[in-house]
Amino acid sequence: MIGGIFLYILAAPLIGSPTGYGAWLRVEWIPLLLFFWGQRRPNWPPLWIAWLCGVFVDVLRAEPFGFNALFFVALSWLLSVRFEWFRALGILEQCLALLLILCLYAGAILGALFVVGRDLAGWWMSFLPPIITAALWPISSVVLARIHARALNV
Amino acid sequence: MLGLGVLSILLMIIDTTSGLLGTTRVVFSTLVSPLEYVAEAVHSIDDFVQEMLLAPGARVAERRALNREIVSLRARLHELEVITAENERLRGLLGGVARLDQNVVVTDVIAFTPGAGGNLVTIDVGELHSVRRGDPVIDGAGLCGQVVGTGLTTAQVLPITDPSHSVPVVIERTGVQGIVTGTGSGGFIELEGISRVADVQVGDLMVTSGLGGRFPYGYPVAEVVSYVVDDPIRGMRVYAEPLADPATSRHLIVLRSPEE
Repeated sequence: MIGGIFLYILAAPLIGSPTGYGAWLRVEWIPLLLFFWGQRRPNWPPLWIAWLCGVFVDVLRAEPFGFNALFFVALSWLLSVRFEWFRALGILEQCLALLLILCLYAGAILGALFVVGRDLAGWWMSFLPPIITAALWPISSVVLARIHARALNV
Repeated sequence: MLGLGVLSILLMIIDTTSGLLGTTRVVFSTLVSPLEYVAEAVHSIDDFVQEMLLAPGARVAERRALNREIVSLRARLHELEVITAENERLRGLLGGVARLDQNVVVTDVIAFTPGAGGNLVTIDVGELHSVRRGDPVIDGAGLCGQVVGTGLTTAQVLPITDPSHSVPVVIERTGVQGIVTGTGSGGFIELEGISRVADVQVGDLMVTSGLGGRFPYGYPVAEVVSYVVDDPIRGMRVYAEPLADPATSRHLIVLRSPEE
């Protein structure tokens, strides 16, 4: 959790342009961290922490309450019951699994926006963050594993 | 899992169908605002280092205050330009438009937060400064967007380039009216709902029309960069480039709505 917040703080100022294509060149840090810790330490973080993170993201993104919270809880729950399956995957397969999960997340957001009558022009760009996040998984998993190992040693 | 899932769905339903969670959102937004201030601190350090390296001896605080004043004065200047243009068009008729002094507050941009349709801009004023959801936000060049979320000391601004953002506008040269919507891509906006034979030229200035009452009349919005006239279903489609650029504006102005 602390690591997640720390990385999020680091990432926030690095987000370049609030408009145009630059708006989509970002990493979905919190799902990525939930994906990592869900495999390393099943049932941690607890579901309610994942839910709370989701609520904060709802507020940060000015989206309806429960929108991201529902996804984060579902992701944490999936990892808690299937962590051995995810652990057994190779790094490339894990990338694809993460990509699939995040694409479902982006698709759910688009679906919800469609339901409330929003214009979905440029919808395909919603899938850039999942692609970027999944592409960064091999590097970020190594970095997070080192941080995790160091924390355990201390 | 099931309990939290049901709770999330209930919250979604309540939040989208009523305003019952407004106070809760303010509380959570206030709790999360330290994150945004930490992000802003990184920018502040960057500004400070640049000041020290590029302008030795300059007073950082004084320069920041002057920058804020420049933004505010530019906005006032645009108001005067619009009034002058309008007066010319009405050939001297007195009292054509009586613009009220807007109740404004100058703010700092503290973060860019990823949203569903692009990035939201977070500013350092909120409920404590009487900023409300729906308040228009401008910079020195023109309309930036509107407030879509508020905390006690922060607020989120949806840029006009977001696909879910619409603004009623009028083309200043010809008086053609329509509604511009963000395209979500390339930083452009699109004018919809106008006749295929409407008089539109590249370079035309769009300003807010004031229809609907949310955005006051006369604020510059965008400049026409291209148009397509052969669309049989949607009529003329006009693409324009917004004059405001939240990516480079460190200070924005919120036009606060009158107290209810």
